[in-house]
Amino acid sequence: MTFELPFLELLGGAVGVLLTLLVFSYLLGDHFLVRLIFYGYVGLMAGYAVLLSFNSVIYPLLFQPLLRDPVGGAIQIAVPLVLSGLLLFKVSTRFSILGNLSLAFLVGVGLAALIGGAIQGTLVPQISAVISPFDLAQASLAAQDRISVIVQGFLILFGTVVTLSYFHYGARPRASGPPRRLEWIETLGWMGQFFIAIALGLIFAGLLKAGFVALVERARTLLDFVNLIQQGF
Amino acid sequence: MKRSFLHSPFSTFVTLVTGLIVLLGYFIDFEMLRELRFRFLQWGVILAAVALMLGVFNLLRVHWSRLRESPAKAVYSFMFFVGFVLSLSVGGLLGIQNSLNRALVDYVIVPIEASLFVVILVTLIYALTRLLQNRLSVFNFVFLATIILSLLSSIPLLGIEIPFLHGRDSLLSLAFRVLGTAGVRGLLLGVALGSVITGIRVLFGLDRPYGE
Repeated sequence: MTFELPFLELLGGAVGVLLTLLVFSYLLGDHFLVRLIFYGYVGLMAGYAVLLSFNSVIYPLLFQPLLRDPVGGAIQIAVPLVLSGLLLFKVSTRFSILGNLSLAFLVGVGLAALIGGAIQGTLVPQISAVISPFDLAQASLAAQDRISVIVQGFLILFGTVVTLSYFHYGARPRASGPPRRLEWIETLGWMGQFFIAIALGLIFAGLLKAGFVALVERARTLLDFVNLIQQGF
Repeated sequence: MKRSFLHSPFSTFVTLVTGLIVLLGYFIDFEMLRELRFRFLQWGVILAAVALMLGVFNLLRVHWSRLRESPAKAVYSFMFFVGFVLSLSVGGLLGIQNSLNRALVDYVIVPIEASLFVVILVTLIYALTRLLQNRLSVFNFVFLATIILSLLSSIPLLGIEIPFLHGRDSLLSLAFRVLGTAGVRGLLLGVALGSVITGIRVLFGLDRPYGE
């Protein structure tokens, strides 16, 4: 019996196939071996998360300035170092309060990034995209295309407005019965559900397609391994 | 009860000041604000990395105590430590680009993740069948019809292309592009508006997720 293939490839393939089959077996029910795999996987990911945060953030931003220029670097990293040190107190139940300052700073910066990102990254581009079909600068388009773009633009604008209306929760108190939304908002929201159903349906279908791709990839890996064994022995 | 200066009002003040400086740095073109925004964001990234490490440390602590105190679950926690030490030693000592590390990714991580995705696929299909078992509302019907038509339109069945279903310029594709874009755009705008409002509420101390 001779192995013409690299040992690592064969061993790796066997491990990959075994893991695939064990994870698939989860569909038949939870069991000891699959739980072992999940715990091991979480451990692996936790290790990689530590490595990634150290190599990509902590070493270049905290240690490298210090190694490059000990005096200037110490001044540069003083504040984040103190804040990081205070954050470590969060581990202790007794001194955890000392970490509040760092956490408050982190929340402030995170929220500002969230708000700024939502405005610059979503609100402005999406509103611009809703408006753009009605942009007169597009007058260079052929008349037929222009009409088609404007009709599509109207449909998208209508859909966007009715979808947003569905999430309008401002209800008014009524003399009889529980508070209700205004009648016209209720109607718009009802129509919005059609657009939401289509959007969610498309997202769901996209997930299903990605799942099928993963299934085909796994099936192919299993077949490749069988072929590898046949060639190897 | 005696309150420490690190309690609520001070923390809220720090959140408000840092948040406003970073936020103003986004929208006002002023050199000092831009510089402060850059510095604060950099410090925020460092703190987030330290917080992540703390989270992992906490996870290790929990598993360590389970390893010592709960014999029934010790084997799972042991497996957790095996995975943790393996990724740290292979990725940390040998380097991310090392062939052993790549083998770990290719032969362990990718198979588990891809297989889990297949498990999700089966779960999604099961959820769809449950939807069919219940009474179909008009919106459920639209949702299901969208999924079926979208799946049918993605691949020509037996190599036959139907003009209405297949191709980028088909009527179905155009309908999905327009109606789907409208729905997704509405959802995105809703999420963004919700994020901005929630962000402002926390920034001004109306909600305090970072402790009293």
